[in-house]
This record gives sequence, C-alpha cells and structure tokens, in this order.
Amino acid sequence: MWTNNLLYLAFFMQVIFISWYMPRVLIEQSKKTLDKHPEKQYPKLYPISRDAIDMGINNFKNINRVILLIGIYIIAFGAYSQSEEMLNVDSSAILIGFFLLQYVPFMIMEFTGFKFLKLMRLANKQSIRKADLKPRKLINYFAPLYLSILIISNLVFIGVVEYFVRHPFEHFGGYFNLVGLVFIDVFMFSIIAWNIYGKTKNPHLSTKDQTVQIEKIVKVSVLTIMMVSVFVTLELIMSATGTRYLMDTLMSVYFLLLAFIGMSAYRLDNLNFEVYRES
Amino acid sequence: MQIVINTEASSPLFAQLVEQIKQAIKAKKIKAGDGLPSIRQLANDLDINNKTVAKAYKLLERDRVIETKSYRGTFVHPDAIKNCEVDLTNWTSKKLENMIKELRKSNVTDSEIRIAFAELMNQ
Repeated sequence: MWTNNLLYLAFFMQVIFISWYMPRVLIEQSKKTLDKHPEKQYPKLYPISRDAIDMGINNFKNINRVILLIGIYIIAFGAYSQSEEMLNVDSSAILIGFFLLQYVPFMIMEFTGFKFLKLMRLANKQSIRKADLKPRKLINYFAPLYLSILIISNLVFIGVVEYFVRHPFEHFGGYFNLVGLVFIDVFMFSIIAWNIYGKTKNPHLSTKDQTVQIEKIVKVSVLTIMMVSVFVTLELIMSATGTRYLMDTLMSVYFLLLAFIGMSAYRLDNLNFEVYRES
Repeated sequence: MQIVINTEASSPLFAQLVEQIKQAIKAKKIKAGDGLPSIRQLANDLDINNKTVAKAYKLLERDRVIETKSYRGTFVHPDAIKNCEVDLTNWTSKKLENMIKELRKSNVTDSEIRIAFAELMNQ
C-alpha cells in the first residue's frame, strides 16, 4: 500500500511540475520578455506578429491544461479504485505514456521555435554579416566537471553491468544493457555537435549569447546522460535485489528530474535583446 | 576577433574574406599559430556557400598566410605578417600592364592582344 501511495505522490509531483508549473514559468518568462521588447522598438524579434505569438502561447497553455486534467483523472481514479496498477493497466506503461504525452506540447514548442527562427532568417535582409574568427571546438564547451560527470556515470553503469555479467540474475540482458546508454550518448553528442558546428539558427544572436546557449545545451545533455545512466544502473540493481516494485516510483521521479534539468536551461533574462532593435 | 562581410559590396565575397583575414593578421588581432574556424563553421556563421570560404582559404594558403594541418585544422602561418604584404593580384596587374605597353609599342592592336590573351587563357 505504501509503495502505491509513494508512486501516486511522485506521479502527482510529475503532473503538477511538468503540466502546470513548467508551462506557467515558461509562459510568464516569454510574455515578460515580449512585453519588455515591443514590436515597434525590436522589429527583428518579430518575424510574425505579436498576436500570432500570443495565439501560439495560448495553444501551449491549453494543451498543457488538458494534459494536467488527464493526470489528475489518473490520480483520482487510483484514489477511488484503490487499484494496485494505474487505471487498472500496467503502471509503467501509463507512466511512460503519460510522460510522452506531457512532452508533446514542449515538442510542439520546440518545432515552433525552429519555424520561428527560420522565418527570422528569411526576414533578415541585412547585407552585413559577422562571424567570429575563432574555431569552435567541442572541448571548449566542456567544463572539467561535466567531463568528469560524463565519464564517471558511464563507467559506473559499465561496472554494474560487468558485475551482473559475472553474477547474473533472472532475465538479465547481459551486455545488451549497454546499447541503450550508447544510444543516448550518441544522440546527446549529436545534438551538441549540431549546435556547435551546425548552421547558426538565429541570425541576430551575438557570439557571446551563442556561446552561452551552447554551454547550456552541453550542460543539459551531460546531465541527461548522467540521469539516464543513474536510472538504468538503479533499474539493474532493483531487478537484482528484488525491489522492482519501487521501479515505477523511481521512473516518475526520474521523469520529474529530467524535466527539471530541461527547465533549468530555459532563461531569457541573460540574453542581449539589443541585437533585435531596428538598425 | 570578428570578421565582417557585405553581401552587397562590389568585391566578391571570397576577396572580402581574404582581405579581412589579412587585415586581422596585420593588425595582430590574430597571431601566428592561432587557429582559424573551419570552412564549414565560417560558411555557416556567415550564411554563405562553403565553396566561397574554401576558395578564400585556398588563396590564403597559396600565399602562405595560413596553413592547414591535416585533421588538426587551419592555423595562421608563422610568416603570415610578412606574407600578407605580398599582393599577387597587384603584381600580376603590373606585369600585364608592362606587357601590354610593350605590345602596343610594337603596333599590336588591342583586339589582337585580347584574342591572343583569351586563346592563351583557354589553353
């Protein structure tokens, strides 16, 4: 019973944080930034009208509200039915499915952001173009701390897998467990490389802000890799020690932390918006 | 150190790049041995074709203003400041000017010079 209560508590926090608190903070920050930098004085910031931006923000808010209600329904159903499993289905499946659902508005926001920057590039009629005459290298953005986190978290997982290869438990997948982590490592490094070496998405962004943004992406990516490796390490340990019943709670906390890491990178107040002024 | 190009200027983009990099070296804003951005990075940042940057780098490499160390990247040549003074375009113009003067002295017409020059260039 207590494990079920713990699961619902973690799930409640996941629902509230990702579908209520996070969108609220993001919307507030965005609106504050737009109010502070109006269309008349900062025309380059508006490849589309303010009304169109506000409409997008409202859609984002409404989708999150619907998902919040679904989350509350799942909790209410659990409280009412006293079922061991969420919605009388496998809790893990509900947790993963619901997290993916929670992620949808953020994915839409991300894609809208790409579209927004593309419009910004198309609207950019400036004939003067600037670039830094300094090579951008992966190592320049990796603080020793991040590098240490990355190496240690990967090594710990490899060590745990190696241990269980020698002392296997039932249904242990062997070295196949490493595939997932390798995939995440490759995926995250591709995102980092895309941001360092790829085309500049924002034509007006200053070199300093570009560096700050890449550093944020590196930080988020490294912390995500760390989170994934910690999670899969714990999953293996729980499977081996017969404490898998705590897995769903751990998964919910894990989703919450992933969202927290993602949100920590979202800051607009430290960017130089003067580049969007009419020249 | 920033490089600035004007896409509406009359001089070609690769020439602007060559000139800007040479100026940065002469002004000691970048020193011998300093790394330069990769062709792709510079082309992406300036939103121009990779080939334009590659052409500029090729000319700078020919003039020994920069050097490419395989896999490690592109760097400012140790003799870059001295080599920046060498202006092959100017040198070529002067040579051709003298040649044309000599030909005109020998009563060769301008059209004959043009035809001969075009034929030689097409070889």
